[in-house]
Amino acid sequence: MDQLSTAQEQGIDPELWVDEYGGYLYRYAYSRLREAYAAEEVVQETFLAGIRYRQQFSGRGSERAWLLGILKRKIVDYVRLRSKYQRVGSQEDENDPSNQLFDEKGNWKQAALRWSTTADQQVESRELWQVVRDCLGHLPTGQADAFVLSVMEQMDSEEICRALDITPSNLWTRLHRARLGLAKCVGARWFSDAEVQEHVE
Amino acid sequence: MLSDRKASELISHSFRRELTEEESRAINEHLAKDANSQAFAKISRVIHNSLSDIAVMAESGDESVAPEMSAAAKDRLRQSVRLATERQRAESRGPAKPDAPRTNRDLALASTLLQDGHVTDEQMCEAVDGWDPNDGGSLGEHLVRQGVISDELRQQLEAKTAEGIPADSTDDDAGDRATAAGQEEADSRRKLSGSRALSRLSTRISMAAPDPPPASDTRQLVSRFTLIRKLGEGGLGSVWLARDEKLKRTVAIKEISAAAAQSPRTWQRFHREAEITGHLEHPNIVPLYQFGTDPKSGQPFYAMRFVGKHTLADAIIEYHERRADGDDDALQLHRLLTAFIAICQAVAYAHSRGVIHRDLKPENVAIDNFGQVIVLDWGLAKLADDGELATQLTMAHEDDEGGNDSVLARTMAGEVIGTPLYMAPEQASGDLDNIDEKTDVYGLGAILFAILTGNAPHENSNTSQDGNLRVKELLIAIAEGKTPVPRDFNPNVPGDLEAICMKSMSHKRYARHAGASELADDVQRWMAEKHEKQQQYDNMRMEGRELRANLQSSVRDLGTNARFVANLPPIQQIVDARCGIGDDGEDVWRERLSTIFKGLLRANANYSAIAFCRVEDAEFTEIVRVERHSTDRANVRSVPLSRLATASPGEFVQMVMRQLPGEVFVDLTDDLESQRAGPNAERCRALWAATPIFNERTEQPFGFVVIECDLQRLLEIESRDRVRTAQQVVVLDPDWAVCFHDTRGQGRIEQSAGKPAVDVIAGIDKIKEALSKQAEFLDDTDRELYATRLQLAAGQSGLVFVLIRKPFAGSRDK
Repeated sequence: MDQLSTAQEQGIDPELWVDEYGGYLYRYAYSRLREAYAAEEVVQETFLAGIRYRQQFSGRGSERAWLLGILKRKIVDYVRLRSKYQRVGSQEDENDPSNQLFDEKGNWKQAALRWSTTADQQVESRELWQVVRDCLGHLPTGQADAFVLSVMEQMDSEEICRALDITPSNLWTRLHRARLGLAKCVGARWFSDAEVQEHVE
Repeated sequence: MLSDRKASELISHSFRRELTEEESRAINEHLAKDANSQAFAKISRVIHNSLSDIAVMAESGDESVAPEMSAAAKDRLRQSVRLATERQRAESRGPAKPDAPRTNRDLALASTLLQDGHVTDEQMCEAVDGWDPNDGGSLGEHLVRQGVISDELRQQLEAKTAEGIPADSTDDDAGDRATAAGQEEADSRRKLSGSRALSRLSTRISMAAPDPPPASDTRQLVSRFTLIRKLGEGGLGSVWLARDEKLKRTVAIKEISAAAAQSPRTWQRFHREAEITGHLEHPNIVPLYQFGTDPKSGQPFYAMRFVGKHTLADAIIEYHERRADGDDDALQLHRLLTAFIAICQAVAYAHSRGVIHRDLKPENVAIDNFGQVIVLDWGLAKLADDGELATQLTMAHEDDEGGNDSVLARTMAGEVIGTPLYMAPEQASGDLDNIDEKTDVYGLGAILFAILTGNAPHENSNTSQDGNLRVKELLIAIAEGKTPVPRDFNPNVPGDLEAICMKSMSHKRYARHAGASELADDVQRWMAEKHEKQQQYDNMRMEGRELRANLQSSVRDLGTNARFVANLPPIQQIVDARCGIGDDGEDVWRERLSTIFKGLLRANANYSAIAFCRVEDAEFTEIVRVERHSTDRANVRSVPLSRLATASPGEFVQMVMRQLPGEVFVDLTDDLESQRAGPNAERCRALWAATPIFNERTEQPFGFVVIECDLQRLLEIESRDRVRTAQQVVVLDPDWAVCFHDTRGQGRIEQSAGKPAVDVIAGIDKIKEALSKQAEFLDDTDRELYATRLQLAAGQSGLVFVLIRKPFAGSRDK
């Protein structure tokens, strides 16, 4: 009873959470997990955990930040689970883009990467996001997840290794492959877009 | 000197750590001269910045970083939040379940053990069965005691689990971590949902948990049920697997969806469905436990027995898949038909209460391995004389015509897609006044159709070019089309069962069974008679084989007699006489021979003539002929010399003369007969057996001896004496024309003679095909026909005997 009244005094009504914070948390989750159902699931888990532990909300910070804190952990949990089951599912090595980019001697293959020099100045961030997000979606999940945790969540290597239950060298390989894969994909997409743009102009 | 690959690795590294001075120098040198590496560094930087931007903007609430959450997803979220707060409120009133983290730990440990393969499902099941959560300590300790796992492994795993679930969570962070770990465990459980052991374990833990507070008000009625997982979603709402905390049993809860609840009509329908289901108390109709309203949202729900997820549709698919693989198990069909009878009885009961189901299909019948059959989903049911509830179809029509865009109408249209495959014509045409018990009889027939064929009856009724069913066109096709025929889908459907099915699905309502019980009776009768029928068929098969064996031995006797005659001394004496050798004249020997022939003819009532012929150049001449009078069978006489025939040798004589001494040639026609009667010769009137005669002195062919046997008479006697079960015996000549047709009741049917077999025997094609490969035809589907072949001479097609179990229904003249 005490718990309930404390929570009510602080004005937390979980039934309003969906309208209040649902969209925000969902977008955050989607930007990290790249899949609608995954985002929906972690947001739901966040709300359920929030309801279960709402007496622990100190009321000092904003409710949104508190829920975001829970959501961040839920995202990591989700990613961990996803990587676990993916590993069970496919034993073969994750796609390595090096073979497509380098020859046997370790030199770049002809026109391995495309990048218009003029693109440097005119990178329009919103358009670029779209391209980057699409390319991220084409990476193997394990690589993409490691990359997202590293770049977007800014988790350090140790944390990521723990979350994904992998070794540091494995993490390093994943990140490098993700970078190569992304560079190849974004380069190609952006290059062709820029070309079209120039042509139109 | 750096290779490009090494350089790219260093560039990658530079995003996560400071490079050493040496590395920086190397990379700068490399970048200065390699365009690809430059591009890689630039693109990586751009991507890095871009993603960091998205990350920051998402955190600050920028709406452009990701798509909006769908309305449906929002609804789902609202619902689960509502239920969770509800549950928590209820829990906060009574004592919380003690030691919840321990429970979680037990479950987490079990799923880790199963997942990592330390323990098999069977081992875990066994261990769980012997474990009492209240007295036996933790599951891990129990497993160690049982020797299933080592103590070392237990400690290791428990330590790992405990990291996530603190036993006493006091600070904020620990609470969240606990949920996180709990979530992980729940997720693994979801992934391992096939595990028998885990479901047993969670039941055991929940059984051990203390009772929730006594339910006294509506709110607690709701908290009585804990939703476990969603089983399915329908037009009105969703069905959940739930736990009844009060009675500690699993139940199914049907809940109206938030979207559907906005329409008062849906409300009404939902309520009506619960009411109708609640009024039907029958072992084959799902029992309703409770109808209630969620006090918070005001939305209704009802709880019913959880009948499992296996439906008749699954059982039908399984049976037909096995059948396609060649494993046609009679027991499986028997089980399905038994289930079908139970469905009929449930529907008959509902009819007696004035309820029409209107949506009968295999998906709406739950079935378990123990023979329990439950008819579900009375959501479209109609109460007799109740015009208030419009049918599914009218709603669909409203949707089409009125452009009504409400959520309800959309879900209704969605339902129509699932159902018309089993729909009665009057439903498809929207003829609401005519929807009554007979509509359900049609639905039951459609289920029987699916059982027999593995297909929905209207599956082929209308398919557009892209292979998709178009609802509107399909409905028109059903309303106007003919009753589908099970054998079009599965040629092995027993004919009489097909007839029952087609009767119940008759397009004309008056032609259908009067009620569901009558249909059940028909199927039950078929099942009961099936055994007897098999017995009868076995008898008939024996009769057929006996008939053939007897004919075979008659033919053999005929050959033996021909050989016997050929070896008679008068034969060679006549040969000698013809060559001018010997003391007595030919007359004397002719006289003696005809006496012996007469004796032989009198001794064998079926023989109609015996002749000794001389073959010379282009003709053959009878030397001695003794024959029986065609109507006065006792009159056996020797044909006078002046009446003896001369004819030119045809195929028969040529074949005979090609034989060696002692060999017998048997045929259904001889040259004399065919020359005498021409093309109008009666088919299979007689059998002729002939053997060549050689001049023993010169060893030159001289002539032959032939015995003519009255085949019709022989068949008549054999058929009369041997055949008891078969109601008809048909004998076909090598051209598949009828040459003998005998029925038990009417005796021999003369007018059948000479007709093609297809006029007399339904299913002759199957017989032809089978006999081209083997000696007999067995009718495994209908057990109506048996056929076998009698070969007269090597390389000949011979006679075909067909026994038919059904009485002769008159001539099938076209």
